Amino acid sequence: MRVIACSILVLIGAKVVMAQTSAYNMAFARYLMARQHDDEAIYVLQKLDTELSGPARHDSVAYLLGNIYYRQQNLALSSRYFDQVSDANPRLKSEAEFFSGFNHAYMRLTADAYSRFLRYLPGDSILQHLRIFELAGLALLQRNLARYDSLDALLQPAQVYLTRQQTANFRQYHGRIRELPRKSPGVAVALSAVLPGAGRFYAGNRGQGIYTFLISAMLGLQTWEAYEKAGLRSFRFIAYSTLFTSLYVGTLWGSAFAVKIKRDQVNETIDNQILFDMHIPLRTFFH
Amino acid sequence: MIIRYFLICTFPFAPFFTRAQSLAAADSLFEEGRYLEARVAYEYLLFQRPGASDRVNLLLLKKAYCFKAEGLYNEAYETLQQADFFAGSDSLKQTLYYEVALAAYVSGQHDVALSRLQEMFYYFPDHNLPMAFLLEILCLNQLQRWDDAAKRYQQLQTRLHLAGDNPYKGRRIKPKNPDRAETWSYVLPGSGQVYAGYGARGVSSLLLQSACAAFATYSFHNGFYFSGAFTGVSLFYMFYNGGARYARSLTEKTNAKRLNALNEAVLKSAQELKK
Repeated sequence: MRVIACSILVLIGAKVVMAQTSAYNMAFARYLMARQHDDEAIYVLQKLDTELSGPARHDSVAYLLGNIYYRQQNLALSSRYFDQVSDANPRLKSEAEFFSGFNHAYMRLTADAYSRFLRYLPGDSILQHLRIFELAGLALLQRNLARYDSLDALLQPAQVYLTRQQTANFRQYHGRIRELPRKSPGVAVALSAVLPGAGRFYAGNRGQGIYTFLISAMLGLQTWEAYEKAGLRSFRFIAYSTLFTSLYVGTLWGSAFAVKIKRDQVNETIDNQILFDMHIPLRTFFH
Repeated sequence: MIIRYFLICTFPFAPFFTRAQSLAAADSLFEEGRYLEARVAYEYLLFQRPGASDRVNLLLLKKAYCFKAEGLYNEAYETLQQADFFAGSDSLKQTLYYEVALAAYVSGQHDVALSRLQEMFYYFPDHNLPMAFLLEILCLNQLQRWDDAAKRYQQLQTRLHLAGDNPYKGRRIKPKNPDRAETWSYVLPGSGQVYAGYGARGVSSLLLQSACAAFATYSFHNGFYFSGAFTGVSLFYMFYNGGARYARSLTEKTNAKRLNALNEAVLKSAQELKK
């Protein structure tokens, strides 16, 4: 009887000791994170993950690893760990859901991010508002203005302080996206064919347009001079006309790309501003 | 009685169950080359029971050795910066000073390294770390304090009875002036490169610019005004300015080479110090 009682006691004791050790080690991992010893914290947490039992402990480890990788801008890994947080802890779960969704948006996986936010249905009213706000940001990133309008209509009456400024910014971006000029590469090529550099000017790169025009004019003048003074068969004319023709063809080719490059640059700038504004309320609310 | 005995034995020792919880275990991880694990183990000991300052200093020093072994000198420096340089035994303090100076030197903070060494020399004038003198000389070289470096080398040679040549004797130590090289190239194209020690590049620069000037002159003379201006003069102008800037960068390269050669010569004497 005594032996059985002792054995049970030993088993219970071992369990208690394990729990105490893992809580202590978790505190150690948080201490490492606070000191920004990220590689050491990752090592401790990954070791803990294999030793721990119970969803609550696993959630804490996954949440902390997600946060470390988020800080390191390793967003794919960050999302992988955030996604492992279960529903057992609603506080951790909500933060993990929002940051995982934002990570996907930042990685330009906007369709994934959208379906994540669509699936996630928080109970808290402020989180519901934050979810609609993030969905509105995603609609702008996807350039789905009709969807943005319907989400903005939901955001408008709430006037939550947390997102007030960013919602106003979203409306500004919406206006800018709507007014983005739709320029054609064909028109740019045609303009450059008439006047070298005019295509780049039309695309919005005025400095490049003027520079291209000046270079072309200088080479053109030298070619004309060589033709006038040395003749059609002279080495000078052949050299300058070859250079001028190469430059002229290159200018036409470049004009077609200039429209696309400029459009991508403008879109990239707007996207970065949207992502920045999507991030601010998350940081304010959760951290 | 059994229960009480069991609880007394178990709870206070709960956090000490894993391997990384003793200094000897952490040291063995370091010996095995498992530096990340060793770092975690040292940090765990710091987290667990910091204790007296000399113990903290020892743990920080060991953690810095891990970073050093991984080639993370900046992290080693940051770790050692946390140490209390006024606590613990004299030998530990001297090692801390030397290691923090070395980590600062390798991570490019030569002035910080020198000031740490000077602190050490002030507090421990009779220290037994000849490598610290050598490190000081390297710092002085990097800071271009050649006279001080030569003087310190002389003192080191006398103090430790070092045989071999003095690397500061008969060597061109004074750096060439990049501003002067640039100015010379503006006055006579290519001369800045020659001053920097790159004769062939100086001659080719001179030839290239002469060819451009000749083309411009020839074109103007024969009535090709556009070609003379836009090709001859433009190219000459480009090579003229570019050549002067190139002379400056070549001078800086020469200075860096000379400094490396000097440091190499000083480090050669370290072999003797090690013996």
